[in-house]
Amino acid sequence: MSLSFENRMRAKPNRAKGEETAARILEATGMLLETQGYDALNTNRIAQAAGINIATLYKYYPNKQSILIAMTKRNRGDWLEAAGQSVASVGAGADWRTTLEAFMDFAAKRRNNQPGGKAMRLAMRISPELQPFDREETEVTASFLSKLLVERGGLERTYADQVARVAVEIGTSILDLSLFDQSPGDEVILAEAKAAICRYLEPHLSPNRPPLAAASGPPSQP
Amino acid sequence: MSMSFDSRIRAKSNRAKDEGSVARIMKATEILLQERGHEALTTTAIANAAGLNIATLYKYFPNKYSILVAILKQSRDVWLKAAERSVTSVLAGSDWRATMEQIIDFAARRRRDQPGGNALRRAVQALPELQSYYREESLETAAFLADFLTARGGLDPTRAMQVARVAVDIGNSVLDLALFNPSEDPAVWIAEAKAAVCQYLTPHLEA
Repeated sequence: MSLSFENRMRAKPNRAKGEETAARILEATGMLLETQGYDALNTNRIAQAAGINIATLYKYYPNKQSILIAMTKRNRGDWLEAAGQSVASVGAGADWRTTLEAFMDFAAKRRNNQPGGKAMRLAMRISPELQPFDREETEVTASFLSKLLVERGGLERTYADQVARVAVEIGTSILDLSLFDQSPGDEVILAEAKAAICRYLEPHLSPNRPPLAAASGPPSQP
Repeated sequence: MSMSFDSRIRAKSNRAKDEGSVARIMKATEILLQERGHEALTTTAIANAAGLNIATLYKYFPNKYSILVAILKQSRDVWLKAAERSVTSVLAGSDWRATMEQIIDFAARRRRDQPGGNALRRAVQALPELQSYYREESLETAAFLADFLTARGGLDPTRAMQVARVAVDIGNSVLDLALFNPSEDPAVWIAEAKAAVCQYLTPHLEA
């Protein structure tokens, strides 16, 4: 408001430059994760790969964890949008199973097709500093599914929340099998993750479909 | 063989002393873990709590992770035997679903009653050094289930191992939800772990 014309001019290119530097840092981090893995990641290497001074890097991020958190948050928007769209399209009449499978494809792509996607996921999984962000994302994702379970499956809210958390946990954890030694391979894992989630949700979303629906129900009917 | 009576006696009493120290270190670790969590766990704190010199502790364990792995291993043999017994009993004619539910109950009890309890499980989640041990154990558990899927479901061994690993992973990750949702009744997660595992396995066992 009180900025002179001149000041506004200077502030604008600086902000643009700042955003560009931040984006370069994230890009370099993705590239390093992809080529060298999480263990080899440090701020010095990131600054070098981004072609900037380490002091400049610290102006934007205090440590490597904060860079990883920024990377997670950057694509969280797309992720939540996809989750929201999936719920909306099932609400509008799309087959829940097909929709869920498409969403799982999206989840797998996010890990497998993004530079550093897998290493990033491994970091989220094993680093105590990043685990809370992972939990948070799991819970937000589950809240979308819970909505579907209430609206479409008629589940009572508390139980829907629990079932949703279980389903998201199953999907995440099966997809994570590809991060570790002796992995059965990405395609097998994706197919099994879909199968596991759909079979688990089937009694809640297609209760009349025999024969798989004949499984143990909720622990205690409220 | 060539030992004198005297040195045999000494060797024996030394071994007894070693076992006593190891047991004290592990016990102290379990208590510290429960009281303060793995974040506060250090070899110095453990040695203090065990009433031992830190140098004595290092004679037995190179670091805190090796102590935690030793604690985890204590219950591993019992667990793997239970897994094996389950497979045998289903092959002898028991209902696979009921047996699977029993083994999941067993797994849940093991977590609950394990020395260090949830704190140890949380340490497994948070420490990469323990995660790799735990993955090894999951693979061993999956190997039993894979044998069963081959014997009973007719799956080829490679496919059986894939399905078994996924099933074990489902069970573990759903039971772990109890750690992140301490305010909720743990029975919920046990029931859902059973449902998720059994429903996942049904097409392979009831073709």
